[in-house]
Amino acid sequence: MSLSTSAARHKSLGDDLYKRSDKVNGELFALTYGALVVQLIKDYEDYDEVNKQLEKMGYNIGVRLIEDFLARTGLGRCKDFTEVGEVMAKVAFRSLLAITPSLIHHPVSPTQPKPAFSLIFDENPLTDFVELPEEAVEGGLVYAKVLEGVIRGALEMIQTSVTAQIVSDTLRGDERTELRVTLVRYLEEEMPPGDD
Amino acid sequence: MTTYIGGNRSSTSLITPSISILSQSQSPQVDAHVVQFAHLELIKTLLASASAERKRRAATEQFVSAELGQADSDRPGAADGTSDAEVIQTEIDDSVRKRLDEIGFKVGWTMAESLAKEKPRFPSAPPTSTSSSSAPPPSETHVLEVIKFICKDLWIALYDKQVDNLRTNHRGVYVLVDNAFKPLSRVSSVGGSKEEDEVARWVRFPGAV
Repeated sequence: MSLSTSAARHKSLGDDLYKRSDKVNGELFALTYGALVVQLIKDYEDYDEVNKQLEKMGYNIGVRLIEDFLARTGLGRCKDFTEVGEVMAKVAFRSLLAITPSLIHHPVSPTQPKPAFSLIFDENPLTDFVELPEEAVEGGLVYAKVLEGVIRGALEMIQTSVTAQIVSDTLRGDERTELRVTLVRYLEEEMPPGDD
Repeated sequence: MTTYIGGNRSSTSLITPSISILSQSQSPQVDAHVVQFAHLELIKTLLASASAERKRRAATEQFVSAELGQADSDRPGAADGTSDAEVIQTEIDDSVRKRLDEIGFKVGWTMAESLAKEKPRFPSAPPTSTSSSSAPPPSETHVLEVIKFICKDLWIALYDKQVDNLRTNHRGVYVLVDNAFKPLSRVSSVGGSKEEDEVARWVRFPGAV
């Protein structure tokens, strides 16, 4: 597999796009997101509901983002799910959030019939300066839940239905933050309307 | 949530403000398009949460007043059959505006705090602080310092450029003009009053900051 050359290509693609595009102060972004989470907690008073709203928000962002991303990078179809993970980690996250999460592929196995990959975040502009209060952790708040939604929304627009889940979260005391993306199925060209 | 405390508090004259900005600029950058999409969704999410909160509050109030055996007649636009759809919408709009204000305020406060630490020449406490410090009542020059701070440092930190034009009517009102305001440049016009509303919402956030 020519993974090494395509990996290098992805990396430089990500870098290029990052250099070329307009950027906004990351702190502003992080602070805004933080203030939003606080507001949502106040409004819903239910961490599950807040999680859901964050994911939904992410979904809507992802749906718009993917078109923009594809237009700017000019990338074509990925040949398999593995490549999806590569592009996501090396091009998308790199150019959009200026971070490169590590990528771990989970090959298909009897206990796991569908391919999956995990993104390991060493740093994350959203969460870098954030600390969750006790009750938020206990209540089950997943601060970076929006990322799950973004991935789900973006991939759904390219006919790939996935589940994206943060399986471990440093904000909740885990050792590392890992976001696992598992393929559900490829969608037909005509997508049925409505939610999933 | 903790805020980031960093940067160097150098007071040597060799380190000009521009250099110290460079050294402090550990500040990460995110792609502008992401932020624009996120902004839009933020407003939508707030709309949803505001109306959800309102429903919840109204439901609790109804419950409470039912418990107490009172008629809840004195709340305008109460969430029972008599409420007018328009009234609800205005209430929701108002609460969304309030939320955007609060969010902008928080963000602005934090940013100003961290920025003002870098400025040894700045005579008094950060601009958004309350009058808990023993600073003298704001004189004309003090206010001018604040406005200059906003136009230069704050705007640069946030949007990577300075404010293009500053006007005043000498009666306490300052107009900051920024041509090519990046966050707004991609809002497409839906047309009609809805667009005005949207644009007003967009502007409200930076304004609150």
